[in-house]
Amino acid sequence: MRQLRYFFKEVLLNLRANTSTAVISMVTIAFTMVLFGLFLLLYLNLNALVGSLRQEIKVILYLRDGTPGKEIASLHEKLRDQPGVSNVTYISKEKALEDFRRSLEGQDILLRGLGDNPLPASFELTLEKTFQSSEAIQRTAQQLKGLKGVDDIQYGREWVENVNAVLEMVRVGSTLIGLILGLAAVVIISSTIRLTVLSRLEDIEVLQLIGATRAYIQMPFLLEGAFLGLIGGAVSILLLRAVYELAESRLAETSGLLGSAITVTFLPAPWLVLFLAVGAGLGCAGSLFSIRRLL
Amino acid sequence: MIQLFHVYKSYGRHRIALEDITLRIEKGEFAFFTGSSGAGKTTLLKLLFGLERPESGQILIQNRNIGRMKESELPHLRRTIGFIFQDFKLLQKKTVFDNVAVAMQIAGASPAEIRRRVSEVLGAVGLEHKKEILPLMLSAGEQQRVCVARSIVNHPTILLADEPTGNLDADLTADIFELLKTINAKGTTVVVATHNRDIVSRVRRRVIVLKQGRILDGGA
Repeated sequence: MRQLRYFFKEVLLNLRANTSTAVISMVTIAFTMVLFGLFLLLYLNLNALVGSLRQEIKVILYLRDGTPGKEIASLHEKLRDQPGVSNVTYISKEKALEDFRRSLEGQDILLRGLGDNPLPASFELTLEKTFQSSEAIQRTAQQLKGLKGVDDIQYGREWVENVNAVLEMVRVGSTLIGLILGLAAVVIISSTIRLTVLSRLEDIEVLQLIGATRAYIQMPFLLEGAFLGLIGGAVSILLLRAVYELAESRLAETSGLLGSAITVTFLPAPWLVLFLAVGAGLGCAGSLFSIRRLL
Repeated sequence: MIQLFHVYKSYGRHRIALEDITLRIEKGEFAFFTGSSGAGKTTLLKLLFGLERPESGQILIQNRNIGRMKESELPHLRRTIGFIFQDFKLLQKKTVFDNVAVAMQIAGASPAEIRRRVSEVLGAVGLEHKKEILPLMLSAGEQQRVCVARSIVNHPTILLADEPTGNLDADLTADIFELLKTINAKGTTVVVATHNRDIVSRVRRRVIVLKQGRILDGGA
C-alpha cells in the first residue's frame, strides 16, 4: 500500500515525461477497441434481432383439402404432444380466407373473381426456444411431414439458415479482427513502454543496486500500460457511443420510411466493464512484453 | 562478519581478476582494499555486494553464503549493505530528498519514518538545506555526500565504498573520510577500495593490499 503511492507517482512522472508516446499508445488502444466494438455491436444487435425474429418463426402445416374433421382432430392431438411444440392453432379454410381478406382491406377488388375458397386449412405451430435453431426446426418439420393429412410444410428454412450464416460470419470476423488488432495494440504499446524503459535504464540500474526487486522496478511500467489501456478503453466507449447515436438516428429515419421500427441497442453495462478491463489488459500485456525483454 | 575462502574470479580464459582470496573482516572493522588499477579491488567489492559471482570459493556475509544465493534473494541482501559508488549513481530527475528516500521506500518503510530518517541522515552529511535540489545542481562533493546518505539510511551493518573520493579534491576527500569514520564509530563495518595511498596512510586503519588479483599484505 505504501509502495502503491510511489508507483502511481512514478506513473504520472513517466506520463508527463513521455506524453506524446503515451498519447500514441492510448489512441492505438482506443482505435483497436472501436473497431472491435463496432463488430461487437453489430453482432449483439443482429443476435438480438435474430432472437426476436426466431420467436416469430412458426411452422405451418397445410392440410389436404377434404381431410375429414375426425382426422383433423386426431392430428391436432398429435401436434400438441409433439416435443418442442409450445402452441398449436388450427386455422380453418374459412378463417384463412377471412384473414386474407382482412390483409387486403381496401383492395377487395383483387378477390372478386376468386370463386371457391382456394386456401387450405392449416395448423400454426409455435416452437419452444430450444427448438428454434434451423437444424431443430428442420428436424421437427421432417417428423411432421409424414403425418396423415399433411400436404405441405412451410417454415422459412432458407431465411433462418441465411441469418444464422451471417451471424456466424460476423462472430468469426469480429473474433479474428479483435485478435489481430489486439495483437497490434500489444506490439505498439510494447514499443512505447520500451522507449520509456530505455530512457530510464540508468535509473533502473540504480534501483537494482540499492535493493529494488524485479517486481518493484516493473510495477510502475505495468501500471502505466494498464492506465493507458484503461483510458484507451474509455475513449473507445465514448467513440462507439457517438457512432451508435448516429446509427440510431439514421435507422429511425429509415424506419419511418419503411413503416416498421428497427431498434438497435448499445453495449450493455457488463460489456462496457469488460471493455475497460480488456483495454487495461492489453496495456498491461504490452508493458509486460516489453519489460520482460529489457529487464 | 565478512569471510572469504579461496575465492577465484576471472573474466574469460586469460583475465584472472582474483586468485585464491581468503580473508576475514570483523564486525565493526574499518578496512581498505588498496592496490594499483586492475589489482582486483573493485571486483572484490562487487563480489561482496552480490554484483558478481565467484568461480569457486565461498563468500560468507553475516554467515550467509552469497555465492549460492538465488538472484531473487540479492535485492534483500543489498538492503542490508550500503554501497558508495565512485560515480555516485544518483537518480538525476529526483531531488536530494527523494534520492535518499527511495532506498527506504524499497525497504518498505512508512512515509513518516522516511521523512524523519532522511532528514536525519541529510543533516549528518550536511545537506538538509539542499534536500529539494536536483543532483545536477550540486557539486561533486555534495553529490557524493548524497550517495553516502543513501547508503546509510537503512542502517546497514556493512558499508562498501568503491573509490568514494576518486572524483573529489583533497578537502572534500577529507570530509568524506571523516563521515565514514563517524559511521564506523557507530558500529558499521566499513570497507573502502581505493588507490589513494595518502588517504590510506592518513586514516590509519587495516590495509589489505592487492596485486594482480592476489592478496599481497593484510589478508586472513
